[in-house]
Amino acid sequence: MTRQSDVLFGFLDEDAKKEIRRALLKAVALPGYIVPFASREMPVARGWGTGGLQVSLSIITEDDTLKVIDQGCDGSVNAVNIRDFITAVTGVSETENTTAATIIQTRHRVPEHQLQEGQIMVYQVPYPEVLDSVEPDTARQKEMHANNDYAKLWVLLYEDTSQFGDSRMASGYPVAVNGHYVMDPSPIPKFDIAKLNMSPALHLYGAGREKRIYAIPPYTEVTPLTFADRPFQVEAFPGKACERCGSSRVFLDEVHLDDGVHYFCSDTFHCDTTLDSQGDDHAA
Amino acid sequence: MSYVAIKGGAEAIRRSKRFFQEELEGGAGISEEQLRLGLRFACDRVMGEGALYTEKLAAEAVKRSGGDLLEAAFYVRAHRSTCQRVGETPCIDSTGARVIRRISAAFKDVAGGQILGPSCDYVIRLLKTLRRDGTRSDWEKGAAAPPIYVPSALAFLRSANRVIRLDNREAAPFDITRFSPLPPYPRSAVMQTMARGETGALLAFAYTSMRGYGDVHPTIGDLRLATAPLFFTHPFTGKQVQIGEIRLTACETAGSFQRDRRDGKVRLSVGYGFSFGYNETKAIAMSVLDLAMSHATFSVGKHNLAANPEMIVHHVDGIASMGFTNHFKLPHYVTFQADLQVFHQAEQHDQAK
Amino acid sequence: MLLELEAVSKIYGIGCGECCALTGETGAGGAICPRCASVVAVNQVDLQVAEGEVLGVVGESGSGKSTLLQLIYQDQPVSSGRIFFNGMLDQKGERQDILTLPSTLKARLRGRDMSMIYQNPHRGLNFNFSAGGNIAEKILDANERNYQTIRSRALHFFTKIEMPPSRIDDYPDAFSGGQQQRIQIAKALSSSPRLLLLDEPTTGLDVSVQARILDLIKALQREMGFAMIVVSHDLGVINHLTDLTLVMKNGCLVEYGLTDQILEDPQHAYTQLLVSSKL
Repeated sequence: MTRQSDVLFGFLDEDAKKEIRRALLKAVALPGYIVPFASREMPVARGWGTGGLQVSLSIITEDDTLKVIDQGCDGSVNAVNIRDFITAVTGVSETENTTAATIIQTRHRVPEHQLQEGQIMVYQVPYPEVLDSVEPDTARQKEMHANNDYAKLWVLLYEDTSQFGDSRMASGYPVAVNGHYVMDPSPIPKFDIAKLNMSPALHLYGAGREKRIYAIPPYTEVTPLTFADRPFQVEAFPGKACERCGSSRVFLDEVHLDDGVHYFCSDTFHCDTTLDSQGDDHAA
Repeated sequence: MSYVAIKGGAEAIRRSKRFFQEELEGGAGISEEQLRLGLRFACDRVMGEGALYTEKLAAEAVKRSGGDLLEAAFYVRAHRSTCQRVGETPCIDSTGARVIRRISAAFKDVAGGQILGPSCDYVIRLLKTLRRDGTRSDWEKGAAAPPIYVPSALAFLRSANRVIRLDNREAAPFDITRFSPLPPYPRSAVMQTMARGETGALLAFAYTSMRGYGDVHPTIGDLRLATAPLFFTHPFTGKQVQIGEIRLTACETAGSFQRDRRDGKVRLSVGYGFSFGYNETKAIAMSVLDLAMSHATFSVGKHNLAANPEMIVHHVDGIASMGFTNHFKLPHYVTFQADLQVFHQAEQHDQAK
Repeated sequence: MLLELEAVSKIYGIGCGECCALTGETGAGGAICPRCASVVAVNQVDLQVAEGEVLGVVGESGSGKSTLLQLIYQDQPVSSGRIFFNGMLDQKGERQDILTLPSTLKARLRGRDMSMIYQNPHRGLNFNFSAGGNIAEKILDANERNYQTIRSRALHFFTKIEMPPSRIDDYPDAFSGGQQQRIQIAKALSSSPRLLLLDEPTTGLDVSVQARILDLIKALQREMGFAMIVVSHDLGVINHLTDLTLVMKNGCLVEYGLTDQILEDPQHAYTQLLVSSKL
């Protein structure tokens, strides 16, 4: 595919990209640490992935292969829209294949396929600051991060556990990165948290509206904040499997239709490949 | 130098008004229809904030005010005061209205489907051309679709008794156009105030809540653009007759789950937002504020700005806040002179020490 | 010594360098510097508190006694002077002025080794957290990460303050003023601090409630053995709780000794006035 646009390669001007790359380098050097950046206005609205978009556009080269998912799905409207935009301003090739992609921009999911060395995950982040729920003041937040003082988050966890039996934080569950900074992994389900731990891929987080960038370098320890005597409970779908491909150990979408509740793979590429391989089995 | 009292205000005002008209003369040829259809969202916003469902007058107001939408809503609100009140229509059920757009962010697919409808959500906001070939879309205008009615995407949770029902302590809805509400504010009064509140003000307050000064992590359960019939009880026959229909935006937003005060069970909290015409931003912001106020508990910050009806009820009306802000342009030299005297006394007091 | 203060001062205002010298016990203008009009709330106070010692601080309103407590707990920055806390050492193993500690260690000191009970429970408790959550915060500060341990420890202290365990998940708003003070006590003690600071802990409570809370504090102190500094304008409270008393006037320490002795036979004219004006 060739570029067919009047705008610059990667939309952003080179100075903007440089600034973002510098922020990214700092973020990678300090895993989980939140780095402020200028954040340009993008032609999609704030909150619709402008942070992820800026990260993707500053690291993308002509040789990259791009995959964009939203809620695990390549065909979701927002994913289509963002993929169209990035390919239009870069001319890079696009794919739905998780293993073939060099850059995967995502909203709310980590793909089911094991990520590889050299792959970069780019997350769209609404709330970069994990402490917001307990301390909205920016200056205090910085101090708390510096002092490794996450007692208030733990109190929240205590409160939920004593009143509801477990944390009420369902997505964007706080994780400690490399044993120091606690960060918000973007609103991925708890199910996906384990995929971040010691992942061979590089994970970059961009919050456009809040003007923040952070990162998890490859092979970094990522652990959810849980009490020592309480297991980290992730979403489970006991007795359920994808009605399309039959997968059961994946994150399932609950779909409410006129005739009741149905379950399908959230990761549509995973669903398609599982289905294809079954087709092969039948042929054989 | 001789003193000249500033008088002749009447002539100055007359000229200033004419000058203002001349400034806008270039737009004299814009028709009401062009405004009503081409600048639909401006007109809808003006209807909502003006608190009067009138597409034509809203268009006229946009034109008169040169596109200053606060000013235009003010025109409509002022016009509203001249309208004879005939009576009240029964409540509109936005979940029973005919939709052209209905989406739910809470579910991938819902009964009735995700109906994207007309939306600029996925428009690339570029003033340059993105695709050099200039293709726009493969859109073909099809035959008129049959009317679509879909239940709320949260209906199944509600029928399974998994949504907190607020205690309805109100015998009849409060009418903020007849009485000024006093604390504790009835929810109907708060909702009415927000329904005619200024979009930007609602947005700013709702934004504080979603940005950390509150714990509202909203999930849009059901957002719809729809047309609802309007009924009225016939004065002679006593029967309900349809007298017209209105376009509306309605939004149901799910918040965190909490303990239901009625029986201590854990249920989902839901907020509601509404606007005349098509104004999604306003309806969403309003639903977030409803959520913040109606479900304010300790864990979500009872004392946050957005959870405080006192703060919302008195500060979201655009006509009031714009009027008051601009009133500071009026002469204030008597009060300022009095201020200066006190200031001077304080200075003297300091010097005497 | 558990705690040592060396020439600790707190000056509000621009300060002229001679504020401390020009004010104080005998200063003509009281605590206000005649040269620059700054207020000297605490004037070069030297103080030592031993492990397990219970010290009372008395003085009239404005004498600097509450400020002194806040300086020790680092609720306010100290203008000059040094504060040492037993066990806080620098890299060479020498005792280190806690005012110069890195912020992580300062936080640890406040979170674990010291606790403060404020007159106003809104300062001592987070009203957005449940009673149990408030107590848990202090236990978490002490780095405990086992839920059952935290919960049972919180319950332990909650029952210690004579509250029914069923109320542990209620929010502070749902408790009376006296109960809120008790919750503050449970929170303060849950990290097993070595020093407890109490700022007018029973002021504003009715007399019967006051007496029960004072008995509770006394019993807990005997049981756990922490040191205490109690600030009160009420000599009855001081008499009830403390072994040693110091008297402050205009930010200065004017008399120090055994509580019994000071109340029976005050030496300083100002103390005599305080004692004789007791109702």
